Amino acid sequence: MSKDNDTFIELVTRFLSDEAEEKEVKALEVYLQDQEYSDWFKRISKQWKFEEGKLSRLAFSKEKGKKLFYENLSSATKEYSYLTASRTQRPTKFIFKYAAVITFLLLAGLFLFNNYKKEQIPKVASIEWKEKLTVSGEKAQITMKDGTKILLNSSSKIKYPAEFNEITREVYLEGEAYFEVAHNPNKSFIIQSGTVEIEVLGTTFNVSAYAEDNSIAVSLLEGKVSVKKIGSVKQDTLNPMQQYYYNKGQELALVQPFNVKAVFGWKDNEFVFDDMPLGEVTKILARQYGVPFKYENEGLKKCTIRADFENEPLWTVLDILSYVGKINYEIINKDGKIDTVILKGNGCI
Amino acid sequence: MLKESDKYLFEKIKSGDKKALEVLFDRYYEPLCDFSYQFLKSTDLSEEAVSDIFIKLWLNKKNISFTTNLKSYLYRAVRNCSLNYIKKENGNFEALSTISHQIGSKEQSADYPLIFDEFQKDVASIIDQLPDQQRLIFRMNRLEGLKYKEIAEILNISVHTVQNHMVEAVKVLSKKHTYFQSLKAWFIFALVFFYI
Repeated sequence: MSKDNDTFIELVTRFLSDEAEEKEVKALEVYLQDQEYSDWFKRISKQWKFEEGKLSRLAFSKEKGKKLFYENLSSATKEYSYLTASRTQRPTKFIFKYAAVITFLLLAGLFLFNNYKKEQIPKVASIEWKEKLTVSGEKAQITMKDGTKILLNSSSKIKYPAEFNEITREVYLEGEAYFEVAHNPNKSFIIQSGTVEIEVLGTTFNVSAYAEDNSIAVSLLEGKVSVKKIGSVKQDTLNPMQQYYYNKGQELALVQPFNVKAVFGWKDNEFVFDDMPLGEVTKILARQYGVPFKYENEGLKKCTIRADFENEPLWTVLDILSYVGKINYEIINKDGKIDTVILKGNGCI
Repeated sequence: MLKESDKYLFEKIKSGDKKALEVLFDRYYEPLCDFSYQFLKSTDLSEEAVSDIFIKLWLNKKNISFTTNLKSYLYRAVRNCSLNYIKKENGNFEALSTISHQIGSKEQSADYPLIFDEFQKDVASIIDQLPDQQRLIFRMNRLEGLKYKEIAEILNISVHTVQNHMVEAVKVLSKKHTYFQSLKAWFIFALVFFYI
């Protein structure tokens, strides 16, 4: 593919203004393999974000607006009813009577409304939040009041309100979790995790957003979800078997197919490593088995591993790893428990 | 899935549900007022214009239909209403050309609330120096999350024109960057110096 600056600027513009389609993102990625274009892109997007950050709206009061709206509405409807009623005008005396009754009702209504509002405000302000935390080697199942089921993976945290509000169901996730969201077309379920926000009405999917990982992945099994970066307006809508993959370093998001077993396997203690660098593999194993890994040679982290595990004890996993990766391991015990696993061997490039 | 719930709200509004109208009002009141202000340069008039649009929506709820979605319908209606205000009260206002010249700029009006902090005031943004239409389009896309297609519909121009304006904005950004970076660097340097 030949590269030219005008096309590049156009692709960058479409990408930054959230108009780029998947093939345009791919085309942009081809440009970005070139160091010069990549530097240029970084410069533009940095300046773009700076400009974006400077945009702000004027402050307008919704409450004042609503008052104005109802005032204008009542005069607009009064005009309307006056026009239609003018043919059958009643004696003035009656009008005064009606006016008195209406004024009384309005005042009473206003009084009640004000009291009602006063009682409402503190109720909204004090949301009771619940938290569930898992340490490494631990999983937790949560069933929420609306019927939503969440399986929380190791070293993760979820925060949710004891009672959902009337408009949305919002939760916060750190780490990884599997969701079966109870269907409710009128009340979307929103998950904020890392730098992304996921909105669904009811579906089954997995969110992986560990702070130490360099990516965030949302993988959909059933239904429909939309994902966006927090603060951004671009939304990606996923269909079943699609994954939203966000690279934190490059700040690039894309939608791609995924391997179901590799993503959802952890629920049943199954792990699929498809040519994954050893450094990533041990991050996952450390979380699952609750054991820290150390490297005698940092170069080892780059060696790729291809292996499947199903409900295996740690020592079997280590044996297989040492066999397929041609590495040695040493287990350090402390007080009769495994304390650390040290990996040894020649590194990979 | 914001759009879907807009659609849902509109169905509710059509059936006479005032709660749904209030939810819609809460969602779009501020963005629409801000948008209207870009034309009218008066907070009072902007509020009046937006309130008008919601009243029209409520009174004509059964007869309203739109091409793309409710959101762009509302913006388009607010734009038309604002431009009508300008035309109608032309005597009391500056000429239309001078007003549109000010679209998006920040400091002229006395009733502009003081929401910009000192730092933001000090480092001028490049976007502020762009031509009016470009600045307005950038704002609509980035601040209000409107797609090119929606912007085109609201401003009554082609999608191609919208894209051209955005490309021009990016070209300016990509040129002026180094200058602004050095400006920022000096600013930080000055801050550090000040604290020492």
